[in-house]
Amino acid sequence: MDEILEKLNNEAQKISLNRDEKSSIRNILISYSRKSPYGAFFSFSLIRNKKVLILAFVIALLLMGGGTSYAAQRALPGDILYPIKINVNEKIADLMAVTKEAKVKLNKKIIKTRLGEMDKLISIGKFDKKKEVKIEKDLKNALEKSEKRNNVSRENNKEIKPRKF
Amino acid sequence: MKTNEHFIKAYDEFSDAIFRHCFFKLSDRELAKDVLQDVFMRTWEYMSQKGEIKNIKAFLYQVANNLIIDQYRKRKYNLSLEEMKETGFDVPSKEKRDAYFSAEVRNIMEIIKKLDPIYKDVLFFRYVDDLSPKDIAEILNESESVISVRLNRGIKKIQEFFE
Repeated sequence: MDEILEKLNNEAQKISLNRDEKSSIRNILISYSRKSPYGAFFSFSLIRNKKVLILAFVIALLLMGGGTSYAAQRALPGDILYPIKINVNEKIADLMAVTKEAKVKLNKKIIKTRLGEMDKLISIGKFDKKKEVKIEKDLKNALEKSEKRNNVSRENNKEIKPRKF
Repeated sequence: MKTNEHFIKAYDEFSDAIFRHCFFKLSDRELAKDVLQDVFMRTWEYMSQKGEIKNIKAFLYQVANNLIIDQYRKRKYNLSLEEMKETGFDVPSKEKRDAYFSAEVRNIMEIIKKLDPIYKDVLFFRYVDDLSPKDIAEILNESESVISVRLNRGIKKIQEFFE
């Protein structure tokens, strides 16, 4: 019995991330830890010029149609549709998120999307300095928004408590 | 050492172990990678608010288990493979866990899977995750002696399958 359990143990220990997988996730986490100090991910704020934004999005939607907006969802930095993803789709989603919880959730999703795009670009070998600067800028914008929302969010923020299982 | 340096050090030290744990539980390499990333993101969120974590290894396994449970719950509500095939949904190919192991090991894993969760969990932590009874005790919030008893009983249960 000891022998078979030892064999299980030995074979299990051979499972690991490969070098690229490990370093790709590591890079994402370094970026995440630098950009999200002290609970910025759980924060939210009010958009000051909400009426102007709504008007701009409605016009943009009328001009472009839903298909373009949908196609833009999969765009990566450097793609033609990427600005639509950032400047239209995500801002509409922000306006559609009415409750505080929805805004917190959306904010987190957008930042994760930026990090995912970076990961995707690295994996397909299209990550260059220009795209890095672009993602950095978009991430910074998202995080600045979070920072402004910080005070209210902390009161609402739930502590992560590991469940007992 | 700064908090984020502790955090990255923890990643360097435990990422393979947490990945292995997720991979065994989820049987899907890509999903295991996603969960691993999420485990560390959540850990960072916790560390950045609460400061250093006393036993980060145990904490990581606890967060990983919570996220794995969430994945199981999600699967429950998803369409079954057959239903997806019938409706023409493109099912992504998964790198199956079993392809990595010998027949003998696959057999013992099947037996462990059939055991009561209190034995199955400790045996999994001990022989797949290679954790000591002390580490397992911390993760499960139990005493070390309780874990040792469960391990011994679990091994006896496996033996019963062979008799």
